Amino acid sequence: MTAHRRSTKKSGQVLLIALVFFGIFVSVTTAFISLLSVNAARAQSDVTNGEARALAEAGVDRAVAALNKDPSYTGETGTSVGEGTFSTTVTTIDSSTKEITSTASIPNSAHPLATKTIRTEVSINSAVVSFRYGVQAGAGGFDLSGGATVNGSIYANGDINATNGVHITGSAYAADPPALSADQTNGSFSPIASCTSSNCITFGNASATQDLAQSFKISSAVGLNNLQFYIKKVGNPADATVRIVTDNSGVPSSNTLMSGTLSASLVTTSFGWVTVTLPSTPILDPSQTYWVVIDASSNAAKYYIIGANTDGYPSGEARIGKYGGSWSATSPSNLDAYFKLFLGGGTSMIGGNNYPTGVYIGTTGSDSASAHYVEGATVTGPLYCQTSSYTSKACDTSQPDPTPAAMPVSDSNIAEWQTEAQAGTIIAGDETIGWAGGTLGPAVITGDLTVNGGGTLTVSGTLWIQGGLSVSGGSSVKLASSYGANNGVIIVNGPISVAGGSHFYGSGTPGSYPFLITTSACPAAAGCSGANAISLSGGAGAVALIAQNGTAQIDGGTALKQVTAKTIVMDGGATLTYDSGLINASFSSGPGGSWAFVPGTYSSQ
Amino acid sequence: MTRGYTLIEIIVVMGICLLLLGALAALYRAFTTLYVYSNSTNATTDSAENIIQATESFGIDADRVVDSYALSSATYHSSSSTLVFELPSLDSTGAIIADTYDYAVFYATGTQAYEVVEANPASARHSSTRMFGNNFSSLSFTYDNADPGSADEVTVDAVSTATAHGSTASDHLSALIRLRNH
Repeated sequence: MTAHRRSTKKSGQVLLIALVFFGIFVSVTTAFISLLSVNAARAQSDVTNGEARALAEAGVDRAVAALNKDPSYTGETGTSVGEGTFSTTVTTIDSSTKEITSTASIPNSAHPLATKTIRTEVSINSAVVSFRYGVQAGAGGFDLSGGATVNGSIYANGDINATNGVHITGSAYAADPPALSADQTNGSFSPIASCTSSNCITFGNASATQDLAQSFKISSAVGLNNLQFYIKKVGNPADATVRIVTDNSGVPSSNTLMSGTLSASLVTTSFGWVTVTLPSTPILDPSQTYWVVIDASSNAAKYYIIGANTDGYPSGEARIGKYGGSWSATSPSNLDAYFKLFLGGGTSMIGGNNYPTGVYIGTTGSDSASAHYVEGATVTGPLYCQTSSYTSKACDTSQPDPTPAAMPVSDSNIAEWQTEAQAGTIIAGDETIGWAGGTLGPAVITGDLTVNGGGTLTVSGTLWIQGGLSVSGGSSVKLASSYGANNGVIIVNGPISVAGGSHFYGSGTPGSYPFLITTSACPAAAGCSGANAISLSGGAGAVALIAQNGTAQIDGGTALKQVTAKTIVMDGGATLTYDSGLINASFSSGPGGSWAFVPGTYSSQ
Repeated sequence: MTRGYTLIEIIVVMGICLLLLGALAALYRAFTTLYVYSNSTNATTDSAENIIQATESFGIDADRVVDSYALSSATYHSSSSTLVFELPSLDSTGAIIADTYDYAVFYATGTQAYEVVEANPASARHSSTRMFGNNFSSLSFTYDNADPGSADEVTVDAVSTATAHGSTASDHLSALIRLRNH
């Protein structure tokens, strides 16, 4: 008989215990991982919020650019850029103001991780410039003759040469130049006991070393007064001509702007400072490099020696050679001549004829003339001066001489207008508007602009011409009607030439004029070839001309509204009628032009 | 008759349980240490990030840095240690209320950094005072203009630190804020 064992089955608890421990372990690990992920989540949130703001601002920039191309732009929806999308809405507030609302979502608007909405206003950029005088000249002053007429007041930071029947219906002010000062010097001067090749430059002794030149730059647009040289002579050389010439790629050009005489009789056989007087005009441009050339003759026994040092004048250098010929560096190189250049000094003058009717100043008893010296003038109101001759009345010496007045247009005004133009079309190279006419603006033209053939250029926004501007052949330049009562601006880097019966018009609304503004320093700059910054002949119309760095020459012309230049020349019956509204001239590029963000209107949510 | 456990079995089981409990205790201890350290790190990051975010949020909408402003509690002068923003007030739709302004001041006292907001009664913003934390070792402001009132940009630099179980956690954040409305 087999005994059967009953099997006993016992259940265990290991699995349960293992599960409990596993559960504890998983919980702890999960908690730990969630702690670590908090920082990562926060960082990710910061990034997406930043992305959303950047994308919303991109939407605003996009709307501004679109408005400047198409004023009817009203916005767009769901534009994808990078990691997100944006939508913009443009709402018109008034004719010159719009509100842009831009909402960006990362990664999309349907399921955003971050959303940012920006609201801001944009408006037509405008500037106000004050033109207080019908005609205002800088240090170069005025040359008025030939029956030129100014219906308004004039102000010069230099002389007002007005002769042969000039009429000025308002007041005339000629300010004294700044006091005489040594503007440029070779500051490391020390007396020379004996010459070596490093402290003396010999010239006038041979053809290849006939003339001496020293380059320089002045610090402010004030007329030259005199130059001094530390110089001696060998033998008895002839007088030398001292010329101020422009720079030609690092050597003196043959374009003489002004000249004086180095009198040989004032130079001795020992070193000493000798003065050469120079004319005060043309006024040099502080941004340009010029050369003073001592143009001597050549004789091996009669010549000059000028004191020098090495790199004593950081803004220039000396050269040896021949005026109108070739130039070479000094030997040793980097020598600078001992020289001193003086600007300013002197006093102002109005008039110039030796009879009282050379210039008529004033219409009423309150219109006055004011200068240090007045000659050949008939004045209806007070005559403020210290000395006079051939005048209708005696000097009232109670008032001091006028002082220089600031020019109305600043560099920042010009930079703003250039920025307005850059918001529009960029035209590479030269552009010509012919008989068929055309519309430009806002735009930048990298070359020259020519308007001829009787065509009409309609300016619909600020223009910046980086070359020169020529208007001729009976052509016209007018502002688009959208300018309304505002003035329009054409900025030109090079010379402006208006001839052949050309006409200028505003928008049609009273008080609106085109302003032609050139930054050219012609004729006192390289490459001018004698051209002036503004040349207006046989032209007419409602236009304001500005050439604060150069010379404006106006022959003929009627109803010019305002002229501002460093030097102003008017003759040939030119007439200028100042509009008193220009005391606060308002400029606007007009609708369809430069929309720009308005600070103070930006808000975000 | 139910068979019991032998002494060897009990000893083995007790040994295994002791091992498991030891491992659990070690895990718990490691977790608490890391928890405390991570909390400290998060706290420093929180403090520095929050003040950077707050200054950015107010600064971007500000129209200027104010040289000096008198709140009801004190007068604050913008400097390298204090920043006062002037912001155009907003209505409930987010539109700017003309000629109406709110002010936000940021500064640190000892290791505590504060934000004080004084909102115009018409503004949708609310006046408030907020402390960002008690662990700042440095809070400084740099302006792109020698005169803070003329600044277009402000750089905020915040350093917060915390010590836990002998280890020091530090967070150094910096942000350049451009005033959009200036």
